Amino acid sequence: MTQPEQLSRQRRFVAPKPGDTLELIAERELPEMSVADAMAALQGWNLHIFLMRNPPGMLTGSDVVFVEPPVEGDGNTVFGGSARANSDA
Amino acid sequence: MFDVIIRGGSIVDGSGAPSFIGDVAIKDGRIAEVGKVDGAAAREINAAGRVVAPGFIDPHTHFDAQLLWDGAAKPALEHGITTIVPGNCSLSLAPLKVEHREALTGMFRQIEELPPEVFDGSAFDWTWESFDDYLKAIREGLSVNVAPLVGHSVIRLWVMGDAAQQRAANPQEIQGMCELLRECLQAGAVGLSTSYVDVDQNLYPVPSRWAHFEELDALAAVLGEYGRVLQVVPEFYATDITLARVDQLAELSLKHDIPTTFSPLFDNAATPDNVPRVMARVHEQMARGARVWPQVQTRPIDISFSFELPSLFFAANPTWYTVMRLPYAERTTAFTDPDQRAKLVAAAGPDGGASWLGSLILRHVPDAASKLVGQSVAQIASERGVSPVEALIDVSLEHDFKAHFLAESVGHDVNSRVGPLLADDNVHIGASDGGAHIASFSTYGDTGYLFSEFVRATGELSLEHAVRKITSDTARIWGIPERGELAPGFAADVVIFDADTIARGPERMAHDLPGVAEGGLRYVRDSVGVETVLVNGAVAFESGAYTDAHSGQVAVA
Repeated sequence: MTQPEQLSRQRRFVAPKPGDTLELIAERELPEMSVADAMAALQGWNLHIFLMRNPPGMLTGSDVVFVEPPVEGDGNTVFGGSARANSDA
Repeated sequence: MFDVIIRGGSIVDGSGAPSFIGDVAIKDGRIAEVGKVDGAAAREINAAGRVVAPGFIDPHTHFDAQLLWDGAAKPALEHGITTIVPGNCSLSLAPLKVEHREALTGMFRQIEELPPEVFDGSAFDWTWESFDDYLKAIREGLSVNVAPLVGHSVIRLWVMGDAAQQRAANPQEIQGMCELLRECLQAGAVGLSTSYVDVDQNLYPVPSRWAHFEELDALAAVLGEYGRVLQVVPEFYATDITLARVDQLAELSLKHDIPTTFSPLFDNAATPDNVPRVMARVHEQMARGARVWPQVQTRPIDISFSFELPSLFFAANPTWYTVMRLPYAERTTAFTDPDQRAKLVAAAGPDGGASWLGSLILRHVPDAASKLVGQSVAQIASERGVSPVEALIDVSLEHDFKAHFLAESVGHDVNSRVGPLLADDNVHIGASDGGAHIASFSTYGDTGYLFSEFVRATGELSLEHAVRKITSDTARIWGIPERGELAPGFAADVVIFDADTIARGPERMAHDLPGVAEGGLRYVRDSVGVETVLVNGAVAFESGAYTDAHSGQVAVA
């Protein structure tokens, strides 16, 4: 998803297209890497898809897939013990 | 001759303007005059010393099923709520084909904690498939107004059947969903809800989560034809994902000229950067003209649970969550069999569950004389010389799973930060979740808490500001016409309350679910300081009791 110029910089992400897999997204969005390295990178940047799913890595159409690490200084705040069933595991 | 005149109250008209002493006259369900009213009425209500305000609007509820047996959405109405928005989080009870009832009610059981007996025909008759027919089923008994959302998961289920939870929709299916959404909007839906976090009874992502952005974009285009709302539950537990959702909603809002809202948004000491970062992005997007309204609830979330029923308290721990969903006998075995118990103890963490479970308070056991009640799990564990997780298990077994524990302040936990957030012009007060999570916590009384905590105690909002935030602001954001203000021509939804005492009562157990053995269990809070509630000109609640009035309407243009 592109961000209009007048907005501040945010962490870059994509929304899966119909027929997408994580491998296809890795190839498309991280062409400078080998597929294996790109997949490893996606796994590290998208723990919500890999750690909170059963099976791990199951991609749903509405997912946000980050294609870069967290923006320096922002962190990616994650609630512990959230008040709602937020895990598919 | 008016039907009702409310005399001599302090009128807070919902616009945010300063209060003034005056009268409110009502005729044929509408506000006729506001100010110094001459003439007589069939009934006069003395409001001297009390606030007279528009009825409050609750934009995030799940009363879809309850409305079939309780048109007042009790106890919401007695807190001054005169309009509710059910159908949030991608789930409504219509449109729904007969063959999809089991699948959908499974989602309701999982997400709303409604027991299965409620849906088996003893609490209500399934008389509808279409959205219009569902509205007919509830309309006659309504004491509260309803501005219903239609759920994305339900629309997907109707069009795609089982495939709704398996794959992307093809162009023909997306077209079918758009046509169905159009039909629901024409029947009276205030908008569409979708969810990125909810799971069904098998812990599998609900249908809306399988929709690609192109599908949501097509549905948002239909919303744009009617100027209706898109409601979303984002991955609120991760800031970066929430920020991505804010950007997606902004894109849809600008492209289709629709209001969007997302909920919840929590301010918690453990995640102090979350709200500042999300709100900074919201302000940027709002400044561009996008309508992306974060819904913020007023209360902290206090989760109660026992081992008797599955609880969302365990959602963050898959081992425990899985065991808690087992049938009673198997669940008992899981805690008594040494090997299985050892796995559960281990899954509580290397500290014996101290950080996860130690602060839990034992809230209730069947033995009223028990000295354990009121103690923390850590205290009980210390006295017994065991780990907190073992203390939790032992106490539960000793009381046949009827020991209830309380986890306090799971959502908001710093009121000094919540107050300024609620006062922010780009924040929409809501997210009560009314009628949901019924066995975990009370979702009633957020409005009372707004006044007791953030008007009286901290002074973060003036009385007029607080009333505006839960009346005219809500009506404007949601496009609910002619409600939310005390002005001539507006619907006569009115609440009369004592500004010095309005609050929420203590959380208590209620056993009033129809068709469920011993009434089941839900947590509720009674109102404090709310004296009279009128819905479309009829007195629906007064002097601590509900009347027989069924004057509620489907409140969408």
